[in-house]
Amino acid sequence: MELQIESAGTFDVINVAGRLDLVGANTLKDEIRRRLQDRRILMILNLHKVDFINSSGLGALVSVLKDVRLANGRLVLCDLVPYVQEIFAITQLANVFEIFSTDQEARVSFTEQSATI
Amino acid sequence: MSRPENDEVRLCLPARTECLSWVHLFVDRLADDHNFGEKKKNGLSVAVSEAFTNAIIHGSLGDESRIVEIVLRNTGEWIQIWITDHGAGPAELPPEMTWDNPDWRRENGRGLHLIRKLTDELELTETEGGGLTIKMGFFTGEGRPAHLPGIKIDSSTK
Repeated sequence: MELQIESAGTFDVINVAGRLDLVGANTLKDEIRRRLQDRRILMILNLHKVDFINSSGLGALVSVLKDVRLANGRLVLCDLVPYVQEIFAITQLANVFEIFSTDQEARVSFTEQSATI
Repeated sequence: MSRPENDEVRLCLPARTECLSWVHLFVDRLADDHNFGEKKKNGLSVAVSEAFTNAIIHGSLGDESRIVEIVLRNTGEWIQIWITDHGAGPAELPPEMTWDNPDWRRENGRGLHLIRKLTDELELTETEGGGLTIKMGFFTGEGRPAHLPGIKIDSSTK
């Protein structure tokens, strides 16, 4: 699994590519916890290039969501491919995460959030 | 639970996370050989990955010298896969989770529930001498069979 990180002002966009399984889960958790330590608490996870996810990957996402919320931050997901969308629907996690159809919609939500603060 | 005797493929792999990629290759090839559509192929891939991961983490308890056995049988109408570890036996579900009411927001304990959602047949039994065997069945036709074989959970596996 590969992570490509883009800083977009007040928030970060983390592009995740590859398999989000037992191996990828730890990589993702480590990276997000590093960012939280640096007080980067607003983030978009773009899952467009995630071609596999299992319960280890879902567990990692739930775990980092809790960490981000504990830090009073916000984490959203975007651009899920149909297969990943189906896994989120099966596991009802689509109701737990904020999920946007596109990267652009997710970015706009952060921009609007900043404008209202 | 009967085990396949003929017409089977058997893989014995060390209980290591690196072996997950071999398992994925094996399963993807299997799905392609049977012309599974994308949805069915992904379901097969996730279910087998879950069972193998389960065998590494819970079944082998980090002991990489232990072996996880994968047996595959093709009956034509069904693909059946047995994944066996030789660890401590079936883990109990977290107390607040039940088979009928999984808590998907937990960080752990959702693997078997996901397998259950993705397979057409599921059977868990304790392995003779310790450990757990997960038998998964996948209907090779379109959709799901008219009469599902159902889910059998050994009484000791909550």
